[in-house]
Amino acid sequence: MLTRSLLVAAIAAVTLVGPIELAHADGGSVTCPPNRPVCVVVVTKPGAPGTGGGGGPGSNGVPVCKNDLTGMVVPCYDPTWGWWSGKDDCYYQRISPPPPATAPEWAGHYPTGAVYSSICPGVAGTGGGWIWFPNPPPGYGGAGLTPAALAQQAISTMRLQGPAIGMTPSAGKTGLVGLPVWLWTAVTTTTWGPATATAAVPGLSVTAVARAKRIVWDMGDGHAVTCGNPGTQYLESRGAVASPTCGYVYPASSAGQPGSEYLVTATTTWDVTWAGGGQSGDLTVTRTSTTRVRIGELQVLVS
Amino acid sequence: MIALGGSRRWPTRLATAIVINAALLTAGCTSSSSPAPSSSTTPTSTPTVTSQSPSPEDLAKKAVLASYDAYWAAQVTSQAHPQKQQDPNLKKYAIAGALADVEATIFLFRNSGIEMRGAPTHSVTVTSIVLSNPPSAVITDCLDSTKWLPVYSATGKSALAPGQSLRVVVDSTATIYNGQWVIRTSIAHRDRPC
Repeated sequence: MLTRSLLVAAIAAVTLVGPIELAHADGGSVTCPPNRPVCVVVVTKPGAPGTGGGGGPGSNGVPVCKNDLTGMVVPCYDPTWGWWSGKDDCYYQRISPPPPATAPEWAGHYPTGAVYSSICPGVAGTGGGWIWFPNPPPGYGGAGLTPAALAQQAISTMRLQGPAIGMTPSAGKTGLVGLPVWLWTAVTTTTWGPATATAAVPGLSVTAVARAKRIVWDMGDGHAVTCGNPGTQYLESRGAVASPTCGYVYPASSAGQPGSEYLVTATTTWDVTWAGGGQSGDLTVTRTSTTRVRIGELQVLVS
Repeated sequence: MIALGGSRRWPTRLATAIVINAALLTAGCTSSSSPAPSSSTTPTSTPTVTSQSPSPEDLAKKAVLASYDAYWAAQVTSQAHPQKQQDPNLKKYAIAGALADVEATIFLFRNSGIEMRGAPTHSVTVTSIVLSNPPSAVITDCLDSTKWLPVYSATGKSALAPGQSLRVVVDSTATIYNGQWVIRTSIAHRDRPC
């Protein structure tokens, strides 16, 4: 029969192996582009900016070019499609050479105003086409576009994410009350940075740099750990010692939790600095990831 | 590039040529039996398929079909690489809705990590053509997408929504813009298999 200390060591050796894999949301929706022959399944990308937690593009009150249908930030200018108009979620470009006077799009206005080609991915069920305006639509030519708005666009292209969670115990294993839990994130451009991106329109270019500053690990039991570092990846050779940089010890089992698991929510705070167009600025964005962990109590065997 | 000879049913074009020639033959018979002597003309030799010179409509239809081919070829290249700027031929051979619908699809694919692989085949005819101002043409196509399918670029796995007909009727219209026949509208009827 094993002594208690050997039993603890045996259980620890079984559970403290390797990192948990981040679960991805696989839900997809059928999308049928108008007038096109096939429909596709669009899958929501993991790591997309959450609606909660604040700090996402546009939350600082700066107007950005955004597709209201999907919530995604879009480039304010595209070399092929022209200028984004936030008013009706379309790209517009003046047609050159202009359509002939007999083209129906002139609607009798020829030669006043101009005919623009448009694509409207922000409007369900319509693709766009040719349309006449007496004056350029809002946003055309970069009217009203600020360096701060372009900074937001640059940030959106970085695809910043919450932590790529690494944790002990690993997925499917049960940890123990009282034993050190290691917390870390894989260190990549999108999970810890630094990340750099530039957004440009004719005549204006803005570059932004994002660096993660801290991760707040909400352990799901009412406690949270804040680490100003990405943590240290667990190695089996280290045995049952605590993480030198970022860790936690559960005081109670997860038996009473939904699914008998603690929901761990990790939020990364990113500091972003940007410059361009004779201006510069700083802002903060947050991104969140989650995982689940099962924590048990040591059952003493009695022979 | 969709081969002009390979993927279209030639009997259809031959039938079209025979219909046109039959109409001309009928017109010739009618005028030669007309009682108005001053305008009657001696009928020319009986037209045959091989010696009949193409009518303006025939030549224009060929130009329309060439633009239609180029429009679809540009879609194939653009939708194979939606992260790149689209094929410039899209704007050369398509306008208005026919252009915007393709561009909106490229936008969707670019932001969804989807690309098309392969190419479609066509069974296409120009069903009517008007050579006055404004010029126009109507094109009917049975489009086969069996070998032109969407995948997720990251994994190569299929992104095709289930339960679809992969051969459907596509109705298009064309006009002339900037010295070129261009496709103005192109609507795939996903509920009309062919």
